[in-house]
Amino acid sequence: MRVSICEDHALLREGLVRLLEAHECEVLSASEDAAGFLASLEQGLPDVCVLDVRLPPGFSDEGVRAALEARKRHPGLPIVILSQYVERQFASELLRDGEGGLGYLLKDRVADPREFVAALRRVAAGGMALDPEAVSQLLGGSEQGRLAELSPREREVLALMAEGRSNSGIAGRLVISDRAVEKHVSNIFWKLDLPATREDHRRVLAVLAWTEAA
Amino acid sequence: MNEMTAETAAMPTVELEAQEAGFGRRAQALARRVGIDLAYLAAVLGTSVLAICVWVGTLSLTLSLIVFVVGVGVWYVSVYLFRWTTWIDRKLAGWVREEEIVAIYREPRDLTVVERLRCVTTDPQTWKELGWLVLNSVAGFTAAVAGLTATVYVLGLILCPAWWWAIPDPSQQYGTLEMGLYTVDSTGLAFVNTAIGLALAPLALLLNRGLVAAHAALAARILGPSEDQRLQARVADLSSSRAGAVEAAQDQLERIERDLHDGAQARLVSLAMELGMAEEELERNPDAAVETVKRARAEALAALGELRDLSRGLRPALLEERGLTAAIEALVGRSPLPATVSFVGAVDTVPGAVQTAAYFVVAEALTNAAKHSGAERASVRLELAAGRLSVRIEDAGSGGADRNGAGLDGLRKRVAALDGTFGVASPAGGPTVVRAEIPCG
Repeated sequence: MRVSICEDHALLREGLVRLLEAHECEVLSASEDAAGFLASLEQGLPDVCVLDVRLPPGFSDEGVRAALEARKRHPGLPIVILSQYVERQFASELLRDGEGGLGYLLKDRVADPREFVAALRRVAAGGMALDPEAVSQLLGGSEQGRLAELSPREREVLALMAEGRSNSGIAGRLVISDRAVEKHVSNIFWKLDLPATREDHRRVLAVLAWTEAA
Repeated sequence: MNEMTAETAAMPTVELEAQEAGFGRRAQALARRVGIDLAYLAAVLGTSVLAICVWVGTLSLTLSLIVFVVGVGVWYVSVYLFRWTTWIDRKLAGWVREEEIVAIYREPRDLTVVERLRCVTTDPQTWKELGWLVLNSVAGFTAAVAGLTATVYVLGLILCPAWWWAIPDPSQQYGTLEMGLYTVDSTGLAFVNTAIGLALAPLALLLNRGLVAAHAALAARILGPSEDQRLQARVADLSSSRAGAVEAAQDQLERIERDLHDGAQARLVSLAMELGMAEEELERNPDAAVETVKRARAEALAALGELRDLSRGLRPALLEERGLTAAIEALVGRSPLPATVSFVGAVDTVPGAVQTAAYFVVAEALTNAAKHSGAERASVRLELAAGRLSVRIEDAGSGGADRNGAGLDGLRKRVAALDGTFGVASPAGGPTVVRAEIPCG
């Protein structure tokens, strides 16, 4: 898996490079700001990009804006945003284009390199990786509109979908059968009134509906 | 024995000298008082004439032009004329009363013409000044003429032998001076006038004294701030310093958040990552794991250091434990720019918030001096007197400090939050003086 990194903190940048190389990833570029990152994409696209939210010069949401810009130039480019805090708004901004291949993780996740790299792989494959912390915040948010129709179990399934888990992964987590998960998932799609398209895409849309409602 | 004799012999002379000196001082003070009173009366003669010109002129112009829009403009200019004219009266009265008489004017809420007009027209100070001009043009003029006439009359009597002969009288060879009860027609009788003049002199001086004191007291009462104005100004002052305090706290919070994010937090993330990697390496490659754990330990120590610096930035440990004197001495010792430090009064007894503010004023000023001034030495002085802690940092550098720089502005807000004053004087070419005065009550 080829990865591009954009992280202004030299220590973390070097650490990430070491971590990824230890897990058989090839680091295509490691930039320290948004401009350097966007320029590096012209040299060749990675399988997944990892960006810090706060980048120079303003240290606010430059990473999110660089990610949106990169997705505009290269539609569907898989991107994982790393953040010190969960900002619900960033998550929904990123998911808005409805394409897959997105992740929003707390920086804390690098403490478990295997799980972290697994999340990167899921995103590179077009899946999702919302941080469990982000997911639980979203769960705690106000429930309104179509989401209110979901049963508690369906909510749990949706939360795990948001973390990027597959049906069998969800089944394992909730200790129910794959069959039951499939039923919950199709109920969710039906209740949220999502168009019948690719299964991956519908999963993303379901999560998007959820982040926007929260 | 010898010494004692010398002392007893010396004593009467010393006493005599002291008496003479005391008498000399009293005479000097009296002469000064008389001079001040006369100068004041002469000045009041001028200002009372100026007052009548100003109020008659401005009011008649304003009232006659008010039907046209121009009159409004004339009114606005008139208000400023009142301010400038009464500025002289305030200075004069302040001079004889040996106090500063300040006028408190309301600030317009914005810079529109209507608001400015509303502001000057509803300002009680405007009407007090107009009232004063009217009063002064009559009462001030009368007082000045009365006092000066009496003085000239008494002087004339005293100096009568020098001029009585010059009064022309067609019927006689010499001049005569008609005094009512008698007629001065000889130098001897002229000296009688001198005696009367000398007897009347204290009365004239007392009259002057009374007139001057009354006039100055009236000026101070009318032109100075009323209790109401004083309170309003105080409220405005407090709300702006409160806003400054809130802003300073906000700035500090943002700085702390940034420091945490860039410093300790990033190091802890890195530490967690190193440990996660070490855990994996332990299974595959224990030698590499040792290196990773070493790096992790270095990260942990660095994070501790960052946290320590951060908490020192909030309230230095030394200040907490040893007090202001020790903390400032340590600060000066750490400064790359050699500095001398002096303390006057029990500066360690001031409240904690004042100590912290004083500490940061010195810290910031010394850092600035070391970075920008090019000076080779600086001096720091802290003095506690009359319930106020004054802090003064001076460097003989090149001056030209940016008074509105973020650092100095932060200090200004910090000091203002404690109801203190903060100032920087830094002319091009130096020296730069930073001073803060904070009440400790």
